[in-house]
Amino acid sequence: MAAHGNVSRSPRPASCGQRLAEINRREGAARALRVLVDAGGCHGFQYRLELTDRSEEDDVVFERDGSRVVVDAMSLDMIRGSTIDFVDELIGSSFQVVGNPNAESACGCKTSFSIKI
Amino acid sequence: MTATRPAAAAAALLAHSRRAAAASARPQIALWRATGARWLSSEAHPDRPAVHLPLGDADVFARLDGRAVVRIDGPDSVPFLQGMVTNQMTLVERGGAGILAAFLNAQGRILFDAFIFPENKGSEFPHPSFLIDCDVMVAELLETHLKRYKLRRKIAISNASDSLAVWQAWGRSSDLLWGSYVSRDCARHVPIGGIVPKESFCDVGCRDPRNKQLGVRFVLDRAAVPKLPTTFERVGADEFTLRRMMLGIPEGAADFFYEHSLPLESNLEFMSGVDFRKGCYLGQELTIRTYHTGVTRKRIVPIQIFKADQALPTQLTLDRGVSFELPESQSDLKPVGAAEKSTRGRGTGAVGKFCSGMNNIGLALVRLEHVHSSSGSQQILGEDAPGAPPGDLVLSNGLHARAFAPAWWPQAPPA
Repeated sequence: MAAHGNVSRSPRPASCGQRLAEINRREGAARALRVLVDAGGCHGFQYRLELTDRSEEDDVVFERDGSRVVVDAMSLDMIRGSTIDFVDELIGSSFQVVGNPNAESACGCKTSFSIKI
Repeated sequence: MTATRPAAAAAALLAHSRRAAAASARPQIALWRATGARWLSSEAHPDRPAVHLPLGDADVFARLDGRAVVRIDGPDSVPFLQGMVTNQMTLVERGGAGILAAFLNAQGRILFDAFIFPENKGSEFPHPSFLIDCDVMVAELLETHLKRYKLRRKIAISNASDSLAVWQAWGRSSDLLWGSYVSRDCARHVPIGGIVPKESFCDVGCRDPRNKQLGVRFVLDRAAVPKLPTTFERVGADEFTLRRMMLGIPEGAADFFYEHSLPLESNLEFMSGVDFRKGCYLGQELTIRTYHTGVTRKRIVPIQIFKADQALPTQLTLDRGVSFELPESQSDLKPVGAAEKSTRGRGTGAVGKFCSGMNNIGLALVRLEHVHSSSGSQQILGEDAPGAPPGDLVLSNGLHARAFAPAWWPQAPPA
């Protein structure tokens, strides 16, 4: 790591809102982060995160630091109470749904989870 | 799927032969190429079960009334099922023969064992539509399970058991049934070189992927009777169950314990029900990890049940004269003499669980060091005390049992 002196990691990972604003500023767009829950993965349900400028009828919009996260009603039921964060780890940086109180267990890659019934 | 359309002359011939057939006392006579047998008209099938040795090679068939059929229909059927089952959906994506698969929960435990058949028909074929053949006892649970994971998928889930029934045909010529097209009843009247209209005996089914000796499994309209060659005789579904048990093939909720059984312990990979190369599906993590550790200490095996004072069986032999009162599914099996040794503190001392049985045979999930090889009583697998012959087992109701490894299991080459 020492050889890459110009690679710096912020002491505290940037929050989801800051990172989203940064992406939009760089690309000159005003896109929102869509969080979807789909069936799939080894634990039954998986998160799908994508940048979008479309909104659907049943969307719920969350706004922070001038950035928006949109979630449809069906997905919201399964992630209610979670935090959307931008996680900066050695394995890679990504937006993640963390601390989902509706999830019972998750698979190794953290994209798939099972629901408490 | 459809028969070659006959030319006008052949069509006239066909109409003629149909009239002739209707007038004749023996309707629907055609050549069954492989066996030389004749087609049997539906009314000639005897409903009374005939007696056959369960592992004999006589041609027989049975309707399996203990099975239900759930239909999944819609453009997202394949990706949806691909994320839910242990086998590879690309095998059936474009129609053809069905596959065996299991539905697991997130912990990798079995919920249901099932056949997945592409519904090879309809005006929009290959419009994705699949029939799931499962134990009737858990059909509702399966529907609920599927609906929980449906979310936005464009699929319709419905129970089709009222309109469809599951059949099995086995015996020496059953292997020739699936995938071969046979001449229709007019074949004998076609001039040399003429086009012979052909049809398959069934559109939905497969050669049973679990074991060759189980023949062919297929789905028909509930009102229909299979059009099989006359060599095939109808028997009761119990005959199939006996044959299945003697081969050590588990099927249905009594053998696959809901939320408890594991795919490899239930021989699912021996029965071509698991694809270890496919991507994520519900319950994959534990399954693939177990596979790569390469160790399975228990498996479902056939057992012979006998009274404590009877002679010890040396190989699996069905006795139809016996009807033991059998213990419940999932009840414990302990080694003979374990009652005195139960102070060792290793749980209950159980080395297996009973699955299901009939007459004097059954299936049980047993630790492999307690399983006899099918040829004799020497130990074949297991880790404890190599060379020591495995002892016998006691069912929870006091009957004794001896577990045998099926001869068709993959064998290690002799050392």
